[in-house]
Amino acid sequence: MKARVLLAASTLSATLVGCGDTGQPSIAHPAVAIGTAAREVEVGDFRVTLDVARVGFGPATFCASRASSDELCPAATAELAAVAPVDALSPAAQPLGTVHGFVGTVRSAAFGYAITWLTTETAPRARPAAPGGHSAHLEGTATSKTSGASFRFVADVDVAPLGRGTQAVSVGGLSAGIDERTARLEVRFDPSTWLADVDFAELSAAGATATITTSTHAGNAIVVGMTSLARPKFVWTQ
Amino acid sequence: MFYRLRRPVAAAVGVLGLSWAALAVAQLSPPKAKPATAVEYPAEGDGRPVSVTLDLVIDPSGKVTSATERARNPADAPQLFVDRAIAFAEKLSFEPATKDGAPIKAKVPYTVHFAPPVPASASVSASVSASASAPASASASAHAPAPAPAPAPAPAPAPEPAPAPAGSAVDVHVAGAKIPPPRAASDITIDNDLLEAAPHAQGGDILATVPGVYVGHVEGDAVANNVFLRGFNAEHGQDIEFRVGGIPVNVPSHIHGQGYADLNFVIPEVVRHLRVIEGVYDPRQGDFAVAGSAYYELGVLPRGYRVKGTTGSYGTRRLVGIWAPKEESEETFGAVALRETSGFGPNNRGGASASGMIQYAFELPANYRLLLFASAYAARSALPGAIRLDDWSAGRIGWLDSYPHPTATAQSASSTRTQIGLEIDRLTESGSHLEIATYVTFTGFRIRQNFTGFTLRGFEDPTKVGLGDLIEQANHDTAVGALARSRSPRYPLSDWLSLFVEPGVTFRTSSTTQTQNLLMPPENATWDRRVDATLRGSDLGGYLDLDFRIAKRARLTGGVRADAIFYDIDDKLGNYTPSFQKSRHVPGFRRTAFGTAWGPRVSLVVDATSWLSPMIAYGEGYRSPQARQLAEGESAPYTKVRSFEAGVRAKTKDQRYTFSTALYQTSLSDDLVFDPSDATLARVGPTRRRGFVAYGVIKPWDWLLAAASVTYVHATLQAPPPATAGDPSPAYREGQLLPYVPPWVFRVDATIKHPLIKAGAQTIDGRVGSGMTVITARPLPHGQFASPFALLDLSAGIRYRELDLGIDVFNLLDRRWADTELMFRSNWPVQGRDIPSSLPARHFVAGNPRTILASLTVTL
Repeated sequence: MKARVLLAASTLSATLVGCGDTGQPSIAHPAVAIGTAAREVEVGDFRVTLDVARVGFGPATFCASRASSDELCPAATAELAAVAPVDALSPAAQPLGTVHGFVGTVRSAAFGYAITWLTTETAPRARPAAPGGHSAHLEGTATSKTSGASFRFVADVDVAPLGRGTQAVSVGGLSAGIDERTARLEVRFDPSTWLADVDFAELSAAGATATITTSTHAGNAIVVGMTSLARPKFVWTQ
Repeated sequence: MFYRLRRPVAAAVGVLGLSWAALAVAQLSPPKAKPATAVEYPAEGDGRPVSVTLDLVIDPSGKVTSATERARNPADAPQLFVDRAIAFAEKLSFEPATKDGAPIKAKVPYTVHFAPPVPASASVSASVSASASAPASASASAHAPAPAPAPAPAPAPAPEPAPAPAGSAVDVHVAGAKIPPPRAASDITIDNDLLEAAPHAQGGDILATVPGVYVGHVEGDAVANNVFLRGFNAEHGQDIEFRVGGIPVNVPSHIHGQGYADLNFVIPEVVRHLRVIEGVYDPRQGDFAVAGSAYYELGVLPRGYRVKGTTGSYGTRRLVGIWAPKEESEETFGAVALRETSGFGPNNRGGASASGMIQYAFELPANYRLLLFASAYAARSALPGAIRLDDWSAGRIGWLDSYPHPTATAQSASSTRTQIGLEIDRLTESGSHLEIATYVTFTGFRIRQNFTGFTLRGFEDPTKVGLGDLIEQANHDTAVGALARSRSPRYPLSDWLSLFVEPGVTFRTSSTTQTQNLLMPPENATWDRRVDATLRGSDLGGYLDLDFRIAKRARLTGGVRADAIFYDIDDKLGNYTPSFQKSRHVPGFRRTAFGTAWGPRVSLVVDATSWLSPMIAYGEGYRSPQARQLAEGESAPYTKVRSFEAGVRAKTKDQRYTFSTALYQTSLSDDLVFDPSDATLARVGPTRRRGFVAYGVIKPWDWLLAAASVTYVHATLQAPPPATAGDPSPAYREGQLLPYVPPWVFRVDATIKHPLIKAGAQTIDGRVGSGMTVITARPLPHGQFASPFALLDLSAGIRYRELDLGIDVFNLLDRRWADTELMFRSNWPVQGRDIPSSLPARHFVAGNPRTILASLTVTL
């Protein structure tokens, strides 16, 4: 109610100002996650099929600077201040929340996988939307093309920020103008590509089911895939 | 005082024609004039000295009941001078003549001398000194027997532009109004009676009476006011040149904001005039005259010894003592003020301050005059900090609250200011005026404030973050300055053209130490250092001002001003190597820079009729840069200001109704906007303001005085802001508004003073005054608009003999309003917000609720 009264008063007063404003007005549009139907990938001698790929995504900030460090981006151009679970194997649009921001150009982004380390926190913390309390939960089958032997693998990995007050992943090289015409932000995932550096031969020694955690070689390879090699893509549509 | 920008000073020298012979008669005593208010040299005057001798009839109460012309010199002086002299004399107050100790009616000659305009003059002050050009006899009415002859008193200390007419015996040197003629329609001088109409808590608040001005108190009692003037968000002084008694108040390269000017040391009760030039049209206007200049002239009327005690809301208490001996001029006074308050809100705005001001005028032989001024001030206050609007809207925090974190509750500010000034001036027999003034100022400042909560990362150790963004800024400045100017006598160039010439020179040299750190309360442990610098600066300026009088109808003034500025910067944290990098050098970045700025200033005033004067003016001014932003050998880049104005002034013959209006445009080559993220000013590029101002003052009866103004501005950014690493291509579109500038400012001041009832031989006088400010929605960054507000302040009181009982009410209607609204990113952990936003958001600092103060004043 108070906000409504303020808004009304501000609008009325703004008419006294004339038609001008200070530019870069605020905007808001939905953000959705879009997975991929491609569940199979070949990794070395193994044909890998993903059955489950649940990911926690957010929060995310989008900056006008070419890098999203604190120094270069003290305030964001847009943000998704929410964490949501994503089925990365579903090509359907899954709501992530609302992107709030201002008209401008996005040149870099920083985001997390459901684990935050805020400036006021002493350690990283998994958000409720984190699948199983982790950044990602992957399940699948790996089959050797040579021997035909196969095994299940289950991965629960955490992608934590490296430092207090930082995000887990920084992305540069973006170039997207956002304004009132922007319809939505699509965050596109391809989880099968996260497995590209996993040593499935090593995992096959574990038996019928290999358990992958962040501290394992395979887990580390998945984290590298999520943060460096195959990061989600940000596409703004009109 | 020091910067005697007084224009055609009306050096009104009254010659009280008392019959000194009467003094020899023991039972007869002549009337004695009490200190008088200033009288101006009429703007319509042609620059010649004029003397008007009047016959005054003074009744037994000391009141002038009749004033008629006896003579004028020169004989062809316009009737206007006579009218002005009569109007002036009718307001005089005397100690009545007495016979055997009993008051009697008396008739005496009295001469008012109008000295020619002396814009830069330092003095001709309000001094009352017995002197005589020649003994004379006073004529006495039938009710007042002629006094006996008396010895001639000492020679007149002040120059006499014209010989005193026979019959005069006692010179009464009346306060010379140090008010130069206006350079533009919005060159406005506000007298004490209007300044006192509405209540003003501190010296900076007086500015609220000026058209187009809004005075904020965003950072409490110990920090300079935030001042808006005609489309400029001057912050703490970056866009307004302030002088008090002639001494510059702005501090260049101050860490809290360029041109920081804290006026809280001024005790409002000792301000007799406030002159504000909106624009840059006078060559005497120096550094920071961007939106304009504001000059406080000090003096005390009525004379006497005064003690004023005030108490009221929020534990506010104030005690003021003023020493203003009746036998001294109105410029001579001493004053102290002590103030303390718990502040509105939950114990987050308390503060205390103490201020002392002394000024003494000496009349010296050979028409020399000396003025000594000294003041000292100290203050400390708690700061509430800014609150996120979304937190208040969601009920997460109260309107007057501070965030409940130690880094928020530890916000405070303190400041000190000590200054000494000495001025000497001389008005010669030929009419030229020489002034030399010098001053020393010491200012101290320390503030701890946290706008952003928990966002900052250590510069020295980047792993440090989340320790609270409690920024401590400290600035200590010692400055020595001087000015000298010489106003020529009038040079007649032809029958219809004459000229005054005034060259002037000013300088200021200063040494400043400043630091900026990040602190952790409650021990205020330093967890990061941002600035540690010593700055030495010198500013040498010179100007030439020409004043042409054309056919008694027009006045063309102007000239050129040039300034050179030098900086020596010892930036001790320059080239600092963070702890995670290998050090290759010793920290420190020492550099020097030098730059110059110059520009013309010109104005034309035409007295089209006796009541209407069109005016047009153009000027170029400058603002010096913050020294730490300069590189080695850089030509110190001044901000260039171009100001244009066209307007008219109108007034009735008796000047009871005056009106002025003007269209204006001001352009800046490089403007600044407050950046809360590190509590400093950030460059935004070239800007332009266009608008109009209208101002009227009416005094239909002696007991009613009112003033009203309206100011409109359309302030726009003229080019994209400078590219930064944070935003390589800042968004911009043509006509983009400047943030924080209120487009409309309305102001009304009114006061009524009238006797209420008769109480014996005395009356009980009543007074009521009010001031109302209306600010429309201020544009904020990102297309937002701040909420508009209207404030009504009220003052009322009654006076009986030596006692005055008053009440001041601020925000009478108890409106909820935001003193300021800002857009910036913050991170204040509160219930209900899980993930902090990285976006700039609206924040506000609450303005005062209704505040009631009662006061009792005893005047002896």
